[in-house]
Amino acid sequence: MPNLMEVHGLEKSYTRGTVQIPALQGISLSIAPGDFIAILGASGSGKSSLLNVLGCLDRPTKGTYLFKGTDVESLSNNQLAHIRNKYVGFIFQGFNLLPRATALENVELPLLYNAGAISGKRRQEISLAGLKNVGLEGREYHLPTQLSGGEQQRVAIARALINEPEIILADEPTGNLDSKTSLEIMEIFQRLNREKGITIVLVTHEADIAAFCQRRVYFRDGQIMKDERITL
Amino acid sequence: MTLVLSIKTASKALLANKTRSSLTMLGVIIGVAAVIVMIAIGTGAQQTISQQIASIGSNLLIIIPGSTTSGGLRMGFGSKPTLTLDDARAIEQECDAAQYAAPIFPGTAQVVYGNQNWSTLVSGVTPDYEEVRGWKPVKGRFFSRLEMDGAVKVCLLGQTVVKQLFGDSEPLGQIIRINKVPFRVIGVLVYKGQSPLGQDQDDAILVPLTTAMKRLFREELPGVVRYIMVKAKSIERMAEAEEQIRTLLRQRHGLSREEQEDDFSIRNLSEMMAAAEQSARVMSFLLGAIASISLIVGGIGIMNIMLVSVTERTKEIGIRIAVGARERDILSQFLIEAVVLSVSGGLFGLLLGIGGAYLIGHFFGWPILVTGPAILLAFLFAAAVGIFFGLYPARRASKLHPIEALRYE
Repeated sequence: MPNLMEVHGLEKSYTRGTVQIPALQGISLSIAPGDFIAILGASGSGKSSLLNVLGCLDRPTKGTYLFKGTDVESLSNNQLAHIRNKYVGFIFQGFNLLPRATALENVELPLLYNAGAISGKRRQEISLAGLKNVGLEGREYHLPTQLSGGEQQRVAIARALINEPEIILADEPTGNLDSKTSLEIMEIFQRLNREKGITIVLVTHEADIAAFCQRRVYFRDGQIMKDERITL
Repeated sequence: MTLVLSIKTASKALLANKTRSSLTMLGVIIGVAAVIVMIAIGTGAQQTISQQIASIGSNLLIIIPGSTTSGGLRMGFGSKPTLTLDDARAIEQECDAAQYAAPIFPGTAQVVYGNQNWSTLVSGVTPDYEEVRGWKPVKGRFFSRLEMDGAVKVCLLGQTVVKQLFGDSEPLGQIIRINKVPFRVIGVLVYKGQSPLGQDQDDAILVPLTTAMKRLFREELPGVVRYIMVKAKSIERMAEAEEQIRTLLRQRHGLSREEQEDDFSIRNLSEMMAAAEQSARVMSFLLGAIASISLIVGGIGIMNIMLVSVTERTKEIGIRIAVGARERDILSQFLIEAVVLSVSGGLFGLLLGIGGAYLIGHFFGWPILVTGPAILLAFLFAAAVGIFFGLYPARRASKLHPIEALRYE
């Protein structure tokens, strides 16, 4: 099976004032469909930078990134937006829900940017089903502030899944949650990976979270130290 | 995103900040209202002038006698009695660009009815005067050519004279005395209002020309009139009529040599009035332009608040980009918000402006005219202001870097 995502000699640096800060220094990594990968490392080791490039939120400074065999370099901003909308679901540490929108409206959001117009009724149906799927029935019309951290992250997961993406990119998804809720969220990821074959790339620095993944990639100073596969 | 959905989203975002949105809108409301009121005042003034011009009569030329010179002292136009009844008749017959020529012989006279008396302008005119001035009797009738030729003592009264002499009683058929000469009232003239110079045109009495010459105002030179009003066949033929009259009168007055000055003067009333109308139009335009400045200031208010809004909602923009919003989705979202602000402000401004214009008209007694095109203009202008001043903040929002936007706290 061809690789879903492939990076070669990836470099990324940020400019802070006049100083160039290297975040990624020559990363090469291949991700196959159905992979459940944990990216581990200390903060500032470049894990999030890699995730942003993989999710087409950022372009690499150097090196190539092939998304389903296509060099991302050659794609326009609109095409990248389409990839984010259709193929990738993002999950963040801080949930990143729209504060003034209800759970249902938050889940609906990616549907608004779909290429084809979907009727309001259809959008609502899909979103209600999405919320039910993550166990949030009865919470549809709550604002994010009226939901617990775990519930907010479930809303974010439902939002990420709404366009049935092939990949979930999660940036420390359990960082703001207690250990019990963290396990619940991880179980959802596991189920998505096993039952639907969704590829999951997860950034974390907690070993017990990484324990859910069959593949672990260790980062230090913008470089990959170790890439191991574990048979669960 | 569809337009309807975008407008819904925009309205929701604006409603989330009611005080801020309504204050921003206030700028546009005041701007649009000011434009409407100012244009209404200007158009009202313009219309008043047009009506006054129409009240004089259309396509009019006025011929007045020339000046006399006695002992090196030149007396000015009208001092030399050179125009005659025959001149008027000749103009009517020989100048084909002239439709009517009405000779006029006016004078001031004291009029008496019962125990009331009043001093007014009594004009001796021909029956053509009715057509030339477009001044019809509202009651009774105009006098006939027969009555004029016979110097019959009949008269028509202006509205002001009727009010002064008769109050509420019926003037038709009554006998009034003009300079002690008895006249029968055969008609009451329709209301004319003020002349462009502010004179009360209804303070007048019309009598047959011959009657005025023979019985009222003794004229040493028989057949001489004070002035002649000529109605040209159309507005386009006024210059032609003027030229024909000048040639004819010079010929009739024996002014054959080039260097001899005209002993009469032809005034083109329509031209003078058109100039007055033009200046009213310029005033109306200027008032509108000044009011537009306040609308533009309102637009700057929109831009300011949209910039604040973009900064405040940086994170929201980041989230939208992360779930697949394109640059143009973000651009249209903020642009539509600006336009919703300006258009709804425009609508309120319209209502306020129309109401304000009528209030001003009511309390100050100014002529006010709110026209459809003025409303449309103000409204479209408001929408254009929204687009123009919304574009920069919206562009700024759409160009945000996704990662930086998401990290913004």
